[in-house]
Amino acid sequence: MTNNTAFPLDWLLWLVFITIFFYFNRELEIMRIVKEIESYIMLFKQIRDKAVSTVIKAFRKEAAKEGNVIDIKFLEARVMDLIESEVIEPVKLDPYGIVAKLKHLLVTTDENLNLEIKRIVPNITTAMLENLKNLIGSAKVLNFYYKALDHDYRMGKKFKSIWILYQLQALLPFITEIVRAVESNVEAVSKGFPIGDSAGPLTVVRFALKNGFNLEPKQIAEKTVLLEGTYRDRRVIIIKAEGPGGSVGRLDDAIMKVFEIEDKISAIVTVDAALKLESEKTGTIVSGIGVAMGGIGVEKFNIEKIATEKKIPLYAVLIKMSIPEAYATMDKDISEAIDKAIERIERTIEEKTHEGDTVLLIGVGNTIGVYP
Amino acid sequence: MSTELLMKIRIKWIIIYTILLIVFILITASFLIMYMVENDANYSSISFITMMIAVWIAINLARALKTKIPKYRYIEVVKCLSCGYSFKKKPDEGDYILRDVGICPQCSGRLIVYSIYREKVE
Repeated sequence: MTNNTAFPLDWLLWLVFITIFFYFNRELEIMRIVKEIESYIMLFKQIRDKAVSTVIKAFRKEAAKEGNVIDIKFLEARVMDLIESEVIEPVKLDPYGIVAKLKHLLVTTDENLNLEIKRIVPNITTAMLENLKNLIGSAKVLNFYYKALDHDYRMGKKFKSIWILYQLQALLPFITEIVRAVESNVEAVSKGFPIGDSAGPLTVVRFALKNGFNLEPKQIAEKTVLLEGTYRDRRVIIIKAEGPGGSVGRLDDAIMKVFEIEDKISAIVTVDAALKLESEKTGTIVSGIGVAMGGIGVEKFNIEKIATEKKIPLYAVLIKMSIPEAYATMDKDISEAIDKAIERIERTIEEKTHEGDTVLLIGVGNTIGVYP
Repeated sequence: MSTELLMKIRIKWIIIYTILLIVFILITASFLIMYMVENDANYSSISFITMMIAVWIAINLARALKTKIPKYRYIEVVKCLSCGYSFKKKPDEGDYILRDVGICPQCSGRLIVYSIYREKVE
């Protein structure tokens, strides 16, 4: 005979057990995710702090060269001011003229940073000034990622939202890849060695070296230089950022200046690092049509505009690499790919232009560790 | 930078997992012995649970041991512009491509820094 009175109580207890089990399971899951996010936040904070101390060390080193000793408290405060400073985007409600506005903001930001750094170390060299600007830029990015992650984590914890925490946890590997890439950039810039993104400027310099160009640079625009020579009876004008400091130059201004003195350009060839897909091999060379150039697009817009007005074909040579490889000291695979990129440039010039033509060859990217 | 931190975390977890693994193996063994001596089924159940925990710790330990933190060495290629003679060395801080580094010992031509790169240490 079955005990009918015990039956509902058993079920009730079982239901209570299941409810408590699910509740604790969820709480345990939140605790596990929170712990994981906290460890990443700790890592990002350490990376940010290390980058800030690298910037401070670089400032002190430069000041010591000038025979000055800077008060560490004052320096820390100034560096943190620079890192925390923000660039406010222009209004996009009426997009007409937005590129000119963006260019104005970029130039102002750059000039402001120059002034701020020179206020601390007045007699700094151009190369070191550019490297310090790069270091501050990297520290700024690291600071942003640390603060943004910390903000989302605090919001998730505040509202006990497992969904915010899930999203954050899912994004962590991608954010970490960027953070570690920028971190390796701090290391590379502090040493002054070429980075993956220097592939464009390095390729055009090696092209000039291989073909016996005059390597004495002419200043064509601010932080931008010009080299000239001939390749297979074609006149080649090379434009790149001025090295060996970490600068990307003002390539659009330089091209406009070239057009003021040289009207008959047959082709524009841009060489730049390009993002590879996971299945692609680092250092793969790809040809393209258009302007190979990253950034927010101001310079690219101006080059495309002038090329369209003058009906000049745009060719590109791309050197494939991942984001971490582009930011870190140049990898062996990329360094070895430079020769292949030079061959591709030579082929492009030979096949797309004729003897007597003038070609504009542009080395796009950060020229850190690459002279001239 | 974060490599050192990751290395520290890795070592910390390897130590923790190793200690935990030894502890749980000992607990499992002792419960198994108690089961064999007293023939009580409860001891076998507990030893099974502790054994599962030990397996889980062993998997984590293996994962921590397998995690590789990449190390790099920096190389600078110095080349003669006239005869092509070249050699590799460790770059000095502040070295850059096309920097004049002296006179070629073979032909007295110009020696320049030809490339600077990093490669993974296996």
